[in-house]
Amino acid sequence: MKILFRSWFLIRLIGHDVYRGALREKMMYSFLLLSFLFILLANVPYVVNDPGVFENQLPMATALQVGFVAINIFILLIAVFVSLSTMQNYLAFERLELLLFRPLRRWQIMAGVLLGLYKMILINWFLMTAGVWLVIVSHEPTLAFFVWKGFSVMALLGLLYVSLVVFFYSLLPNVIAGVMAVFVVIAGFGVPSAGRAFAGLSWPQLLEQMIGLALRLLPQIHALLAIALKELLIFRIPIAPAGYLFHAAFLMILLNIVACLIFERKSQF
Amino acid sequence: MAEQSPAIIKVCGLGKEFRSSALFSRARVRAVWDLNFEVRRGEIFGFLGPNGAGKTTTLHLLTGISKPSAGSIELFGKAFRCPQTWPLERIGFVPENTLASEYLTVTEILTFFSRIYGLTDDVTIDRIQSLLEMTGLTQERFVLVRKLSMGQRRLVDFMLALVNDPDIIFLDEPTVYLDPLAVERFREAVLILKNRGKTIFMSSHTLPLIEKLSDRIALISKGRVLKIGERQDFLRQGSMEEEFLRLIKEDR
Repeated sequence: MKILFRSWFLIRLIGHDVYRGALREKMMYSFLLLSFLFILLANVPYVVNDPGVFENQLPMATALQVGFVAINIFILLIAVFVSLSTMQNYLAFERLELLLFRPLRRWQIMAGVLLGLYKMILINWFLMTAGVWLVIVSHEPTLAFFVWKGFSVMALLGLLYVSLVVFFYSLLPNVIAGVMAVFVVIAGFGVPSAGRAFAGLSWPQLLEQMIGLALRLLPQIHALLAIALKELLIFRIPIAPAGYLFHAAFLMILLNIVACLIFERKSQF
Repeated sequence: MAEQSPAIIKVCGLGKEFRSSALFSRARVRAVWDLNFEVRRGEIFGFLGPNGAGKTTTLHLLTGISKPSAGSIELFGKAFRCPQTWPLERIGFVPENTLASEYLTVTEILTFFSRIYGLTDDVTIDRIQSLLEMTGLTQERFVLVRKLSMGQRRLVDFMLALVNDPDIIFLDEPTVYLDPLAVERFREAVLILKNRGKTIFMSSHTLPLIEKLSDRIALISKGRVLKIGERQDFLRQGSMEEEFLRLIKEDR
């Protein structure tokens, strides 16, 4: 038990240091500022106040859609670029050298990096969601708590993006890690189409099973976005969230464990 | 005094090989091999050698950063093979090039590293105070590390190595970036540590530093020890520089 507490203490310590490092990334503030400019557009349907312009959609629905797109894009950008830049700084050998001879396991360093980046992405998600929420509550006679519930899926997505970047960075410690993470996210969008495309061909059974497994393992971004849209009451999508949320959380934990193990092994210089 | 002390570091047949960086090459490059030496408790041990001799690799092996390919290392009378079991609480290390968290102040960075060792707040405050006094950086304690001069940053590195009050302190090119005044302060600090019974393993190619401070010296070239002995043994032929150049040229 004492070892577990000590481990958690060290991970939190490194995590806080990584978080402080991430907050120094000027890029993050640029993205955040841009996202706020985007989120401000959510005011437009209320200002125009003409349902005909927005295909008779309620102003709140249009405002939520704007917020949804803004958070979706900027969470991905922040997760990929800020995480990558923070890791390149934090895991540079000249900095690691100061940590490696301390009573600290190498996987704890990586776990701390993950924790710090998670903290950074959650703060960004909170600020962006608060922006959308403020726009809504300033125009509607409701506290609209479902906005937080709906956008919480975006927080999960943000954490998943960070896990993907960290995982690929542990394999390839350079910018290619970011490219790979984006590829996986794009692939995650296209899982249903890819599934249909492969199903129409007569593959040997083993190959078909392997492709099926690979598609199931990919983060189901399409489904998570659908859950967010459903919770935001924008569309009535018939989807059961539990399975997809569990899948995302499982994938995240799996990626994190593998990243920590790879780092533990690769940092034995 | 130092001659009668027991060995605190004992290295037997130590070797380290790296994979060649050439693409698709399976060749192995030997950084150091068959290193044999002892460092006695309470002495200043100079580890001298030209650039690329294997000094930093040896330090990485001794501090548990790297895993040896061959041989054994004994620290505090106990053999260690796996870096995970290294007595890390009892050693300190000043690497050659560091990249400390520049967004922290001197006090914050010292506090951060002392927390890794699980030191209590009272101990941390006392230790930071005494380290700041020793290095003369008391005035800069609330200054961001990035705003310090290169020499002052080097002294911060030195403090980071001492934050856990280690028994053995490994120094890799410790006076790089330091001006003569700071070098003088550094020398005084090293002597204070020696008087407190600490063992200092100092790797450098700066001959005057090694000559002035070391009790015993090992000269390393191309990954192996060429000569090991008391400081006087290196001064018999004249100056240390002459002896250094003679041994290195003979080895070519």
